[in-house]
Amino acid sequence: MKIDKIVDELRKFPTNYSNWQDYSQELKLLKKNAVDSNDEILANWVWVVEQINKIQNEFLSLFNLFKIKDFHESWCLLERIELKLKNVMKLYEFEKDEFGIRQIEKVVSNFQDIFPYRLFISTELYYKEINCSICDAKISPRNFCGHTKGELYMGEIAHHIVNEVGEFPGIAMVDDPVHKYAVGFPQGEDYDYSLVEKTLDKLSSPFDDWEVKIERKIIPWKIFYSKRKRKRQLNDEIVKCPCKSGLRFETCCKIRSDGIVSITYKFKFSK
Amino acid sequence: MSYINVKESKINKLEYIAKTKLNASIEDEIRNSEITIIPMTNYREVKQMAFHHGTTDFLRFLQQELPTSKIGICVNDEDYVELSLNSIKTRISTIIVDNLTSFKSLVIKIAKYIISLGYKNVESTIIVPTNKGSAFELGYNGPAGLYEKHHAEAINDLIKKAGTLLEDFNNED
Repeated sequence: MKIDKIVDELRKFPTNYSNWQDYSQELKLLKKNAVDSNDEILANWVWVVEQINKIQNEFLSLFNLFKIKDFHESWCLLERIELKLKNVMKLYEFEKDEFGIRQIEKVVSNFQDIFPYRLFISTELYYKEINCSICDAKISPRNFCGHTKGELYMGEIAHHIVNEVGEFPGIAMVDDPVHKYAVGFPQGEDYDYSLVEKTLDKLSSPFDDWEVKIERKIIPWKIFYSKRKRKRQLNDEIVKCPCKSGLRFETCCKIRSDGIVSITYKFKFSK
Repeated sequence: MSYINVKESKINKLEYIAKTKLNASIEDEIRNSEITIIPMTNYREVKQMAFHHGTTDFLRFLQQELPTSKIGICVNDEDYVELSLNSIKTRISTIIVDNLTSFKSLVIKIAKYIISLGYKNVESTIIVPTNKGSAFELGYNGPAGLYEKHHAEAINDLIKKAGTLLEDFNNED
């Protein structure tokens, strides 16, 4: 199959998505041929098409995960799609509606906004040896191997690989993480996914247009407690966290230093 | 609201040259550099010299954007270690700047760098030496979009307040 034929098929997304195909094997072969014939422009274009193919397929898989209510796996897949979108959008400028990419970007961001996860684990690490993914050269201040992170070289994106880590200075609990997959799951508790479920009930297809506006505030502890009763009494009484994560107050906002999370969602569905 | 905190500092290049046990050729490079990136030495009380994650990319960016400036990184290549805090905020390793011209161009380029990476918030520390051997520290922790403006305001204030202390720094312009 030729690259142009695959691109034409991918451009049809999302029409007929129920019979959507995965072209990863064909693209792998096309890239190998391009690399073998030293055609870097074609190899790099195949990489872009590969990413589009993966994003479209992962987006459809997302809704299969939603169907079986595997919400944490859905959350991780949302992050993987987000990262692929970021990488490919730096290297290819998508026109409106082209490959359905802009719509996927919007839906992914909307779903990420309505998940009940509030606190994430962020690790701090020393990287002692870092190598280039393209040429395996050791990264150091005065030896530049010539490969820039995020650029394409013969159909592969350059990134850094950490081959040796040092001490582990700390772990932080954060609410705006780099690694979204690192959700904290207190033992024996589960999050409240009802907002995600209710949203899915409203959608007739993954491509329905919908929006969510979020007002997120941190209510400082002093104000939170002053509006209620005495602190100790209140701590004993609150079982479920008022931030509506579904977790117990003890394992959710109570461990925050700044206050309690208050979120208001305003939805708009086109259908 | 200012996102910059200005305070006196004892940080100086010579101290870091000694701390990092530089090879002779690198020591010369650092003595002559106008913009010097220095490591942190005691993060969370771990005795490990390290630079913020992505410092080699940042250094490369500065070298490309400021080709006539002397830019150095105070470490031997074999001792280079990065600290990754996996934060949504980008952190720039501490920089010592020798003159006002370099300070101005550096701040413009840092702002450009942060925006090119798509980060919304940034944390950085720039050390400005005085002609008496001490220094001032400009610590920024805030939005990427205000980085340049707040540094320009802070350095102008500092020059007004510190007067003759910053004479050499000021006269370079």
